[in-house]
Formats: sequence, structure tokens, C-alpha cells
Amino acid sequence: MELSHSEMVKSEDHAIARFETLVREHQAGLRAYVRAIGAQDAWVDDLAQEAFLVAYRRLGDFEAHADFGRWLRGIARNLVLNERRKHARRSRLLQESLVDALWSQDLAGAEGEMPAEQILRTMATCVGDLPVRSRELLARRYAESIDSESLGRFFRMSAAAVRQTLARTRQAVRRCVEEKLGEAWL
Amino acid sequence: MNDARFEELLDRLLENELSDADGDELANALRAEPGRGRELRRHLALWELWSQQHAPERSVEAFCASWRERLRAEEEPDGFLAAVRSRIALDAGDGGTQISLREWWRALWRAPRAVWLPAATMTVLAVFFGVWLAHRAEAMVTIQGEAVCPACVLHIGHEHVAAIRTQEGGSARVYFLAPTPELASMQPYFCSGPNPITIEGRLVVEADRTTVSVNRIVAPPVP
Repeated sequence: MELSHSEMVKSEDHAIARFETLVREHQAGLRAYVRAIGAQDAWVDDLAQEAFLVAYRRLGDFEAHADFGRWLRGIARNLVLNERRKHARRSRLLQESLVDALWSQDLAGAEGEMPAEQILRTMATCVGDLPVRSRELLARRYAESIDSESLGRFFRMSAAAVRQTLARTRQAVRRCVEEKLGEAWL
Repeated sequence: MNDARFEELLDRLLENELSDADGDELANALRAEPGRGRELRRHLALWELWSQQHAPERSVEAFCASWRERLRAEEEPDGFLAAVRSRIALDAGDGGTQISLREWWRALWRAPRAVWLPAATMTVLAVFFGVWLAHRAEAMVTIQGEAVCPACVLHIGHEHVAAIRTQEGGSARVYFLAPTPELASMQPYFCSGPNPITIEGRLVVEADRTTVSVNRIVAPPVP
């Protein structure tokens, strides 16, 4: 049976809407994965969206009952690999030597499903245990993407003190998450 | 490398303040101590997740909206181009032209060589000229829509360039405009969009997207 143009548009819209539920489900973990294998923070969303675009077009290649998240990470991994080969002046990746060092290691640990929601819940608990000043510093740094100089002016601290506090805070949160989640992530 | 130095470099990386020399030093540390690599990956993933949750422009809604916008932008220039092609074909009266060409070709075969050779040469030249004209005609378009910047308005990239978004049949289409000094001077207008704009130009079909080479901004923005 042939579909009319409006039916085809509706069918296409329906396919996009259904795929979007997968995007919502997997976006957080995929973005974290893309960052962990060497994307610059400003380009993480761009690369992750590209992976979803490729996945949408190649959905026919996806085998039913296979692990969708793993398939998606494979696509993202290939995108990053292609980016590494480009040697473009405006690469979307971190510095070449750093990406090479990251990729020279066994990335198998990064290939598993990232329990994004569980990690975020754990992080929230860990951050909740921090001193108020550290919590506020983290909140402003990430909610408003403010640099150390501006944070320093806001909190009446030197930029160096801001950097030092942020560094200690991040280490404390990472250790706390590791203690609570064990080794079974990334 | 001791822990203090590693953490210092790690922090510079997370703050986008890592120099090339710092990056090389960190890379050497990762190669020498594989455990550092895991720690670095964990930090990158943790603070990426944190950023997604706390920066409004990186929320799941913003991410999905950008993905949808990008999907449409990549899919629909072809649809637009097809519509322009069909409109030009209708204007040119395709069917009649084909019949008269066929009849001309038959008449040529029946003609003596003295007539055939110059006529064939003229035919070849006419075909080239026709293709060139058709190409020009096909590419010239007038687009009325909204001036937008893919980076600051649509959030589908990081390049601040001029683009025009149109609404057709209930869905949005985005055309990138080839850079010109005039458009560059108008970039704040695109970044503060969506703002009304009408342009006249030529469609340039590339491998991965269709851009518009702007000849004239028909309805310039109100200063």
C-alpha cells in the first residue's frame, strides 16, 4: 500500500518521536562516554548528537535484542576515531598527545553501560556532604560556566584559591563516588 | 609524577587551562602509570554528567531539541531543492521541450551532411548553454524566514555563522548562508535572532549540506 505525502510525513514524525525516547534514555551516558574518550567539553554535545543522527539513519543495521547502548557507543567511538585521523586544525578533541595516551590504554572499562542516573544520585549525596562554600562554588562553576577569575570576584577569593578549592572538591567527590559505587563503573 | 602534580594538571584540563606542554606532560604520566588514565576518564565523565545536570543549556530538553533541529536541517534542504526543481520544471514546460527536441533530432538524421555537421555542433553548444542556464535558473531563490545563528540561537553547533530558518508545512528548515563581509557585519543580528529577513541568492549543493550564496538581502533588518 502506498502512503500519501501527509501519511509519510506523519510516519516520519512518529519514527523521530520513537527514536527520541532512545535519545532521552541514552544521552547522558553517551555524552559522558564521548567526553571520557577525549572530546573537548565544548564539543561533547555536538559529537553525541552526531552519533544519534548516524544511529537514526542506520537503525536498519541494528540487530533486535542487541545492546543499543553498546551499539551507540561503537558509533561514537568511530566518530572520535575519524576525528583523530583528520588532524584538523579545529579538532573537536583534546590535545592530540593526550587523546593518543587515553586511547593507548585499555578502554574496555569505558565500553560498558554507564549508570548515569546512579552516578548522578551518588554525586548529589557526596556533594551534599561538602562544606557550604565548596557546594556553592561547584554549583556556580557548572550552572553558569564561570571561570576562576569571575568566581573569585563573586566569592571574594583569589582565582588561585578558587582553583585550589575546586581541585580539592573534585577529588573529594571522585573518591566519595568510588567508595559508594565500588569499581563497577567506567 | 607525584599526586599533587597530577591533580594540578588534571584540574587545569577540567578548567580548559591546560597548555600544550602541560598536555604532553599529562600524556606521558598516563602512559607511564595506566591507573592515572582511569582516574582521568572518571573525572572527565563525572564532571561531564554534573555539567549536563546543572547547566540549563545542556539539559536533556536542550539536547533533544538541538538533535531534532539538526535532523531537520540535514534532511530538509534536499526537500527544498526538489521543490525548487519541480517548480522550475513546471515553469519551463518540460514535456513540450522534450517532444520538439526529439523531432529536431530526427530531422537532423534525415538531413544531408553539409547541414548535419554545423547543426550537430550547434546542438552541442546549445545543450551546454541550456545546462548552464538551467543551473543558474535552478539555483536562484528568494527565501523569506528568520535570521538565526546555529550556535547561539539553534544550539546545533559552535560556529557563529549566518543561517536562515523557514517554516514550511509546519516544519522548520535551516539554510546556511555562505559567508560575506556584509553578513559578517550583520552577525549580531543573526545571534540575537530569530529576526525577520528575506534574502535572494543561489543554492549551492555540497556533499553534506545545501548553502545559499547571498546576492542580495531583499528585506534588510530594521536598525
